[in-house]
Amino acid sequence: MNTNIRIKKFAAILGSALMGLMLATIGHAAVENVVAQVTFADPVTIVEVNSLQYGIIDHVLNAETIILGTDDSVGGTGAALVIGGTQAAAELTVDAEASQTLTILIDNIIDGTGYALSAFVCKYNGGADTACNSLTPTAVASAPLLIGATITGDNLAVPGAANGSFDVTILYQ
Amino acid sequence: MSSLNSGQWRCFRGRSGSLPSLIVAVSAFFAPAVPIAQDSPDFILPGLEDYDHLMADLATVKAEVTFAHPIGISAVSALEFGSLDQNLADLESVTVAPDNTVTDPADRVEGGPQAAASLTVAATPGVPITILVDEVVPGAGYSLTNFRCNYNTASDTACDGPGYSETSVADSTLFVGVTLIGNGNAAAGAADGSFDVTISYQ
Repeated sequence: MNTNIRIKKFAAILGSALMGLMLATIGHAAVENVVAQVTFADPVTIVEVNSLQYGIIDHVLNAETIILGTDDSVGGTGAALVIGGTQAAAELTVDAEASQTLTILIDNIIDGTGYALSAFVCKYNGGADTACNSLTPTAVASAPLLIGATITGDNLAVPGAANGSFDVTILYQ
Repeated sequence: MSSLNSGQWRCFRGRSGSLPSLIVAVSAFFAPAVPIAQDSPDFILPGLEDYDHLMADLATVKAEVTFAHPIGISAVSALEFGSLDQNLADLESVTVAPDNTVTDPADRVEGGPQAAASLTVAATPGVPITILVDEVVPGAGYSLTNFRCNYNTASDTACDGPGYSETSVADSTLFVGVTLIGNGNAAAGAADGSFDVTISYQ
């Protein structure tokens, strides 16, 4: 009998404790209205117009740099080693939702034999040259994206094709 | 974590657990998740975690580079008309073809060797090249026109004006022929002219 009383007392204490905890929790509840942020937009599309073209370079390229600008200009310490072919910045056509802010990302850079690719510079819709991964332009419906880059020789060049590549990703911020 | 579950189990069963362990268990059970404010950069509506990626596009762009030896040109022999009659009249012509063949309809060749210009050309093989003759400087009494080139024993091709295209070989010979046309002002003596031959990778 005493045992049953103790059990009932314990159950009563336990019930009171649980109720107290539940009430304490309810007492701290708050309501916050949450905005569901949704923006509808045309997906970004990229169409390559032409690749990044350095043309023909003297295979003696050692540690010199050849800078190909977004305006197709050639500079750098190895500019005189460009001995033929066409020199042209890469050109892409970017279609996007106007007024949205874009992020441009260059990655997956694959160097060719004899050189490394670096210092990618982008020019979107006639704007200023900007380091590609720092460029966050406001989109227009359709605009060109010009990309220049620098190649730096490593003294391993041999005559022949030595193409590299890189990925350009464009997304809404 | 396993002890927490064990604590919950003891709670619901209402036995064999001490009060402290129950409190820990129940507290854990009701503890709210740490909320992410909706203005946080990390706030993403459920189901839209890949939103940005769905809206992005990716293009792989080629960086086109070709390494090559610089083209080397070395003159082996000049273009030779030999000795011509100083009475070469206006519009009379003498032609030396790339194979040294001489065409002399007015019979003005008097002597000396007649030979096409010969140049050795070294280049990286397999690359498109342009062969071009320009900067033509005529001598007194004539003009030079209708340049014809033969690279690596291919067919004769006009090489003045914009030039023409060939595919490079490692080492070869370029022969250049031309037509000399009198202007009625020839005089006795040397009357050398000149021209430039340019070969470039395309």
